[in-house]
Amino acid sequence: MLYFIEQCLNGVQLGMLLFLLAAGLTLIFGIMDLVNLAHGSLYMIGAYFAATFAALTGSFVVGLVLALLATLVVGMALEVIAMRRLYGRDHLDHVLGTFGLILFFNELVRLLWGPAGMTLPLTTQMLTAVEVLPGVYYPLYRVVIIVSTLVVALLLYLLVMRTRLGMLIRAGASNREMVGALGINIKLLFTLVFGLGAALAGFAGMMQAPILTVQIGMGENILILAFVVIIIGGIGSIRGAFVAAIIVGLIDTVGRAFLPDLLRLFLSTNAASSAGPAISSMLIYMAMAAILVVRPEGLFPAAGR
Amino acid sequence: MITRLRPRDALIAVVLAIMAMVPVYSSLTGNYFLMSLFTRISILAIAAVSLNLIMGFGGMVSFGHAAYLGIGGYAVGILAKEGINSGLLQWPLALAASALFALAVGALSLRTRGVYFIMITLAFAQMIYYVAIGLDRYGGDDGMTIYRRSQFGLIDLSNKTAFYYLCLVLLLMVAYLIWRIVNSRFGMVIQGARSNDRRMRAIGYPTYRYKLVCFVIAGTLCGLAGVLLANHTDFINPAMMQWTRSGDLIVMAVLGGMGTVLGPVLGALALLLLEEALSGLTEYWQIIIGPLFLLVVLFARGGIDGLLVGMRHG
Amino acid sequence: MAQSALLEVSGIETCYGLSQVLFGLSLAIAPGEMVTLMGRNGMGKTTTVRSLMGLTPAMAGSIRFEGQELRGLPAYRVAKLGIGLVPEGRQVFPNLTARENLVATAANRRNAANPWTLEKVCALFPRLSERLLSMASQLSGGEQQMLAIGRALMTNPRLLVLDEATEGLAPLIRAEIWQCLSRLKAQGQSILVIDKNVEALVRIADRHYLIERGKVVWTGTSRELAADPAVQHRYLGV
Repeated sequence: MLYFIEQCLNGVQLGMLLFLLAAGLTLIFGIMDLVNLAHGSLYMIGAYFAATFAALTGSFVVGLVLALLATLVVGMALEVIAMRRLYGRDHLDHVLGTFGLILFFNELVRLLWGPAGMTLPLTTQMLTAVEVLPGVYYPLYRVVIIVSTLVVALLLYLLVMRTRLGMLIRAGASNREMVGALGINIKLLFTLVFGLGAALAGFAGMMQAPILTVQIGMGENILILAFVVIIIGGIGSIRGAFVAAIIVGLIDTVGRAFLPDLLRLFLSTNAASSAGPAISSMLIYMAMAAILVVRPEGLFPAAGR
Repeated sequence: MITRLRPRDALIAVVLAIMAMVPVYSSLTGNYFLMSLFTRISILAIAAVSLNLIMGFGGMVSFGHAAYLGIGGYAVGILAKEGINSGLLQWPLALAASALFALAVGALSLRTRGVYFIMITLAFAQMIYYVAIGLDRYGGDDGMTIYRRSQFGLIDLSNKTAFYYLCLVLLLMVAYLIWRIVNSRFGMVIQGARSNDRRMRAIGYPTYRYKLVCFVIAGTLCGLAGVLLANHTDFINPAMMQWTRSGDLIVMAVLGGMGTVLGPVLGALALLLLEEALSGLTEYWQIIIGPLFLLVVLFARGGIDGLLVGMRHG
Repeated sequence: MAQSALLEVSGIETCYGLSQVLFGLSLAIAPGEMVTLMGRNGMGKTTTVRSLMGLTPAMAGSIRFEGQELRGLPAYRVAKLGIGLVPEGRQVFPNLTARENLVATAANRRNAANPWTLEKVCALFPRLSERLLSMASQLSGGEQQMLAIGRALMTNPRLLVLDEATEGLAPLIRAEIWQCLSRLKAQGQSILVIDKNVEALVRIADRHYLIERGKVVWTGTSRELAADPAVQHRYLGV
């Protein structure tokens, strides 16, 4: 039972990371109609920056702040140099162009940091288990991840729903030509939105760096999960992304943890051991398939487009 | 029908002629690496040409086409491991598996379009990739060697020259099949649905069904490429169906020009030769090829074909 | 023009895709005037507005606003210089509330002494004040039109441009909108109206331009237009 709760918490944690990525992707797609496959690269860059700056400064927090700024700069530079030339083009162009960028970034990281990947060590304090529920112990750092990502999600909500910038972002998602015709510099708005998306992706990458991974190609694996989240939640919907991300995180984590045991009830041990991992990895895609059958537009499809 | 010889057609004819001569050159010079490279080019050309059926003519951008390379390859590999080496059993089963997967994925994905479709096909391909990684018995992440190529009584696939010509002939047959499809009424409906789906439906064509059939055909043909690939490398591993491979196939189709049946052959040739050349220059060749894709997208969207057309007019 | 023009459009030529729509169109508006641009459908009225705003850039000619050349500027710069657009089809932001529609793009770039505020817009359109918290997509056609006008007013424009502001609206709502435009004119707002409703506009506007096939074919005061039913029939009749 305790194991189950721990896996649920891990699932929520994964879900929150997925949400940050999916939210950024949704924002960028909603406003600029841009399909950005290189979004995962920003996640990777954030992790690498965090590991590097933390090692240089000796402080995890300082490293994090510097990495966030660096990722923001890289994101906005990327938008100005490459992305803005893709606006208004066919989605196939976006896919091809950003695919090329993924290859570029993966190789650039390999050139600058080497092929081996990096680690971001944590203080022993961060690794100690705290009592989150009566009798349930969970590592402090993982709690920090969940809490901080929830805070970021809340800030994002406030930004989009309660500020003028948020109004412009939402207005731009439905009619960007009119937003420009009313005096707003949409080019600048686009750069800011892209930067915001990059920062969200980078933040997710940074936060998971100490406990999961800092390696080349990490962006693509989670990017595809983020796509699954967007499909389940509904394209263009941040609320949908939030709900879907938690669902996907839980299904994937809890599923992988318990499915092999569940299979052992029905199949021989051998069959369960070989089929278990394979089927576990299919779970979220099966969930996605189910949504496509029942509700192809997603759980919370965005209105007004 | 084509009465004048356009630069593009001339180039394709020249390329095919050269490809037919490669084994001769190899046996004369002893450079068998070249023949191996061109075998690979032929095989991936089949995959790219099959992708172009749905992408160029059907407007369905599938970012999961490499899955069929994997399914075809793994069918051969798994059967070989379990002691079934007869090509007459392996190949039809491989094609059937590819067709089934295409049917399942297509049935679900074609309920959507545009960005959604791209993401969904990518997701399903990723799913099968992870399934392959989970198959410990068949190598898991490391992959598995195939000790005996598919056995056919008449032809010995381990004879590299015979195998080379087999691949080339199959490429031409696949291209011919696709040409026939594209120029049939079925093909007209598919192309019509690409430009205006609603109108086609209004006329009375159930475009979903047509697209699904097209999708299954493309997947099956790519499965054939997978079968050939497994035989060529004597090896299967999950990387065959990695999403980057799907991206490569799209690049080949775009680079070669999506408007023609054989255009992707040029694309496969260009991409693989470019990769060979660049990796000879530097270990970090993807730093060059990545931005190159972006530049192609920005400036040469018609692909090599587009450049050639420009040459004729310019 | 005797006094210095607020807006001076000279001989603009514009294409829409491959076909040319405007063939040397010219008009002028003086400060405080309400001027109309009228004509049948497809004659180039909306293209004129889009060329003015920089949304569909003109290939030739000149557009001077308070002495500044507008041709070639991106839309947001044109808007910032003081032109407020109420576009054809209203185009309110459906996923924002009415209040957000008004506030999102609001600005007072010239530090006007008595700028438009949310309260003033609600005073002008009492119906809107009850609907401020509703999503714009839930408003009726007439309310959306008022919202679009209010949204443009909130940018404190020197020139208000309305494109087919009464299209598809009930006669009662139309009359309300004409009334509100009169009130704005009385406050000194310069207005360019694109519409087909001669009778109403002859009563409230100062001068008129009639457009046919991308060129101005007649221009004159309201009195002159009212007195010439033949001209009305020729260029505006069905």
